[in-house]
Amino acid sequence: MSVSIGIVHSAYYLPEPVDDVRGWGRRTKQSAETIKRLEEAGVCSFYDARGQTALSLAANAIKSLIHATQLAPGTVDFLVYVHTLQGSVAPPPLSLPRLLCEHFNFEQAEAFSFAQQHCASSLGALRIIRAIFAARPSVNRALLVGADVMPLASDRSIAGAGLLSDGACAVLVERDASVNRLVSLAFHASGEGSKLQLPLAQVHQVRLPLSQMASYPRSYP
Amino acid sequence: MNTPVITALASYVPRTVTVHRDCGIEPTHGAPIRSGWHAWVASWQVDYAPHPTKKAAAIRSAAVNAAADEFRCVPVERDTDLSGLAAKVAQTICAARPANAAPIDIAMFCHSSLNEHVSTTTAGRLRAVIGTPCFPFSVSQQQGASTFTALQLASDLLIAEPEINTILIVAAEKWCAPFSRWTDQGIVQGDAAGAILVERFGPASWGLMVIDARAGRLHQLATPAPLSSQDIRTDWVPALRSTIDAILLRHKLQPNDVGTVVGARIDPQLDEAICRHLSRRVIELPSRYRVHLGAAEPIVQLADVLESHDRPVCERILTWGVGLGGFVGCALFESHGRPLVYLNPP
Repeated sequence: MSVSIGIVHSAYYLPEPVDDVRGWGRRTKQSAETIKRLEEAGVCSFYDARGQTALSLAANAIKSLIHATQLAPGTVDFLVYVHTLQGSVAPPPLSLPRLLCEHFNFEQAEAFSFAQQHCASSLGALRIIRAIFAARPSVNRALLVGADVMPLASDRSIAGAGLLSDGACAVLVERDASVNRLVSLAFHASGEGSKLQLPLAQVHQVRLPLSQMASYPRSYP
Repeated sequence: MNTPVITALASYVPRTVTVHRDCGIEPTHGAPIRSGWHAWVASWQVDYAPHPTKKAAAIRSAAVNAAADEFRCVPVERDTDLSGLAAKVAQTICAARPANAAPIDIAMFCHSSLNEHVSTTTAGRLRAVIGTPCFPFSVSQQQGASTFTALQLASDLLIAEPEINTILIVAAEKWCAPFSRWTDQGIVQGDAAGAILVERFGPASWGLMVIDARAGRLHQLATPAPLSSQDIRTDWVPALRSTIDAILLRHKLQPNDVGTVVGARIDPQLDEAICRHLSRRVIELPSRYRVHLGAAEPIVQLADVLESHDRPVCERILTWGVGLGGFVGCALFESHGRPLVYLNPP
């Protein structure tokens, strides 16, 4: 069943301060070789939440989106929260997406987390969001929220190939959007990374004729 | 047809052990696992302090202190971790499928407890267990209601993507330090796993047809809650009544049209209230009250009921559950033959 949805607005929040990779390397006693490899991969800085939780970061991103769009809270039908790191949640049995709904007065919104595709989770969630829109004609507006915080400085390294940064984003998806329409999505998951701190799912083909990803944190995991 | 039908279920509940309320979680045998979770627990203090995990180490809140029993018998898994529990039930269902069965297209993992090690992904392990390309992901932070969301998403996916035919929903919970089994409400969280195989309904299909499934949040507070609100309210009854009524109304059914009701068995008063609402006799179920199996609870309960005796054709089964973080869930099934049921696979 085809359905037309699109991303009508997106916002992000990047915590201060911006930290540089060399300072991080000194503090966490990384080898010169690791730093060189990271710099050669284009990693020079990252954002450090320094004590803020994923909840705070996500709330700041939503606040920014609401400020820019004048979004009426009662019109949000869905809130899907995505994250890469297992710890970017509320301590169980609390629910971070529910806390966001309560805080922003998203009265009608159903809320759950979509995760365990690591960095591909925000794209994977789009597949689920598309299915929700296709199957439920009453759903017109969904909020895709992502946040990640890494409290262990030494664990920011992604096998020396990249660095996990802290950040959050909020993406507003609407039915029959006139801009940034979702054309197609395709995924491949090998499962081989399930025991490693590496992306589980590699997105082989994503066609989004939009600048959506440009507004994501550049160092976002 | 787009209607989902449950053709197989598996559940696993480990042996119970006695857990004292003063002890948030049973001690680990052997060397402590260096999981990395302590850093996250410390980081959560900013927004969630005083953190429930920390609180759990001390005497519980007044609700717990008021509890008459000092001990609770809780299913505790000793031999494997969270992903191991999920893999166990998934493997049971996959191994029993015929070699020429349609491949599993989607794998959903429902949970609220967190893996022993922060970097592992159970969804990835499920992909490995399934053995063929699929789309694995987790549905979480709804606790006992996440399985209902997964059923609803399965239904959505079958409607939205005609090429999808088979979906495996796996739910598991395994609590480990530094987390606590005890909630501030005096409920103890046990370990368990369950799996449901959902297939697109066809002429030769048999099993439990999924008529509807819904999960919802508890009613909104009059004023927006503080960002860090830890309040897990217990007003599940109105939310559950409303969710059940909405499903019955949507399908033009009355409570009497439902044959069997499968509840969460988390709290006698809650069970009683829902039984009364559905105009049926309250059945005394003394075991396991105030012990909750989280996301696995609805599947474990449903598998137990299906195993106990065969259901008449077209009998409707209503299953409801709660998420301790403030969620409720409900699903309505119609029996079209007995699905395969596997209880406590080795």
